[in-house]
Amino acid sequence: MSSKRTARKALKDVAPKGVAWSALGLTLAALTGCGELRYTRILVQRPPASAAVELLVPGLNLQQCIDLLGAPNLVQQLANDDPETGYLCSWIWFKDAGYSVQVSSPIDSGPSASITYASSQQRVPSLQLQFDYQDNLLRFERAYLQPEGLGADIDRIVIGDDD
Amino acid sequence: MGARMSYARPMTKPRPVPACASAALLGLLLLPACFFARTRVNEPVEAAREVNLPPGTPAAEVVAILGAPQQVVEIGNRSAYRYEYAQTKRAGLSLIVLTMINEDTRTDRVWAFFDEEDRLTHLATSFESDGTRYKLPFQRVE
Repeated sequence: MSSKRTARKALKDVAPKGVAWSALGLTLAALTGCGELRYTRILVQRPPASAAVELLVPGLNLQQCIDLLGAPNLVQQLANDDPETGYLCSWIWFKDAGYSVQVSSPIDSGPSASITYASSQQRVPSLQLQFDYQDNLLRFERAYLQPEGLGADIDRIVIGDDD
Repeated sequence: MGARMSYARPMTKPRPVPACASAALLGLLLLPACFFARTRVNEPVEAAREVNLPPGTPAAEVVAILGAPQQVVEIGNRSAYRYEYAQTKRAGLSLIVLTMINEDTRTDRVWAFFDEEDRLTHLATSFESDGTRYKLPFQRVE
């Protein structure tokens, strides 16, 4: 019998059957300080009811639109230099879900490393209604806002054909 | 000298752990891995629910009832005041190296639109913060 086989047999005799599993559990527990897999879902507001959106037609007044959709999230004047210019009301919602993986090396005396990977969308859907100064609906559309564009100028709006 | 007595335990199979006990133990082990948190921004705009503000109400009266707005937007020579209360509920489950988090945010919003003479023309209200839920990412939300 070879010495390797003898050692294995000796270890088998000494160690109880669950040692391998315990070792695996301890290793996993120790790894929690170095790595993490995270799944995050973020929900902000809800989209306006599609039945209400279907009733929108140019020519409705502000009160009729409010009755259909509720209070907007944003109200923006379209141009500062012309007081007669209309304004924009936006209903905004956001739903995103994605994984992120983080692996780091918490070594005090040596170089430390951290790797993070994340998957998530960066577009914020919105429903935008443009009114004239007499509070009549001129047009409406679904549009995407970039997250940093929230509450800022409307040049950052990217028109989309999805929700 | 008396005879030495020897006792030997009969060989018995270990009793199986009942399923409900295993489930309870697993549940107890998982409980510390759950967490819940709630965040609120601003105070609820309760007055907008309770008080009737008809068109023509002066802006000063609206502010006296609803308080100072979070934002004032100019619309030509007119204006609109925004009041908002936000509630966020987070629920999470952390299992060794896997963490799952759900974050749900909804708001109560009030927009008061005023004409050139600072009189209320429209009041838009949406109270949705009560619909915020503690859910895990794999649970369905309405």
